[in-house]
Amino acid sequence: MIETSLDEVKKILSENLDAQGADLNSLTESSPLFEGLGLDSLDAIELVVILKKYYDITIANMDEGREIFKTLGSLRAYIENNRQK
Amino acid sequence: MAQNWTGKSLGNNFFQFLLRFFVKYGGRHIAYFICYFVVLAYTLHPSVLKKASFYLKRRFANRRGLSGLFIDAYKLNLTFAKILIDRAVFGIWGDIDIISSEQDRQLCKDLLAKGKGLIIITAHCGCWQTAMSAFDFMEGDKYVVYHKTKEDVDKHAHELSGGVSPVKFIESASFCGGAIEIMRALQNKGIVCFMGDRTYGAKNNSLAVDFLGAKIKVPYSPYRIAAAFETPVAVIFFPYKENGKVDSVIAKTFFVEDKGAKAKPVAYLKEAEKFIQSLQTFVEKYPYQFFNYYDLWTGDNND
Repeated sequence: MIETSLDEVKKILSENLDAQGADLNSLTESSPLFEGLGLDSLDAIELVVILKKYYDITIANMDEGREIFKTLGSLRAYIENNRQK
Repeated sequence: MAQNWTGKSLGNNFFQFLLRFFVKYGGRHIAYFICYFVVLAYTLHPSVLKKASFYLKRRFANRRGLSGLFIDAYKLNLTFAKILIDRAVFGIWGDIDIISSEQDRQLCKDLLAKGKGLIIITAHCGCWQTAMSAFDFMEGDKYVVYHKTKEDVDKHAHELSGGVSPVKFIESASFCGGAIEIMRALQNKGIVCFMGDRTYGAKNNSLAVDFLGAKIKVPYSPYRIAAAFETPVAVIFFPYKENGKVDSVIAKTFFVEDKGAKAKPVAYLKEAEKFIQSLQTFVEKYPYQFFNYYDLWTGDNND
């Protein structure tokens, strides 16, 4: 396990996604990922790419993906528990 | 009036039943013979003629009159019916002959040897569906990114045979647009096939390109995924040759430069144009093998 802060995750998302004016500072662990950041299905591809590129993580299947991409906190926790780098 | 893609099959359940009945109990040639009359009846139906007209009026822009349109629509629908018959024959009897050149086979092997999987971009033309199920010269698991609606009653070959599908289907309307499954497939050096000519209504994720004289929307994600995963792309078409024979033709291969996560879809316009130019060449050579029965050229494609 490599400790991963919410700020680190927010920073990487903001660098790589078009968050459509979302105020990242106001987002918390419980903020919904897609609605909170104003993401769409195109960004979903980028999320999958970000996980691979920055953390060498490949999501096993769609059901797992649904849980991981629920909130910023669920994404952070998954990264923390599964990141390879 | 514009008509968008609905996913509804051209033939209904009864047509599909007839098709399978005659293939099973009469064989390919009896089914071919009967389809000349069935297709005539279908083509006389104004809604079927209209669906075919969107493409045919573009492909044969200089043709005038209803009789010309009717003959073209009949030829188009007849080819489509024969392809459905051959798909049923393949499903029931396993009989199909996919013809590919040694050069193309080697090219695919070389692309796959790079260890990044392979993205195939094809279109709803020729005998793509059966060919994707049957061609076996590529090693690796095969996936088709596909959207099937409730109104789509066409059966895949394996559904007719009751066997296991040689390809796995990734539903493009599923969570994350199927991106999770696509990525896993490519990581396992799989072959992922995209339909490059339909956006399934995902307007924001598409690119406007010139096709047969006006703009149509094509999907952007195959090129973005190819760029992100450094996966080679092969544009492949499967021209239909009748009597269970299908050609497999690699029209183009290329790599896509990664323009970064924040790049707009238009950054991949050059790649989409490579595909659409290949498709245009295909429909020029095979005018009655393009099976998009809706208006691709709706007015909102010019933004």
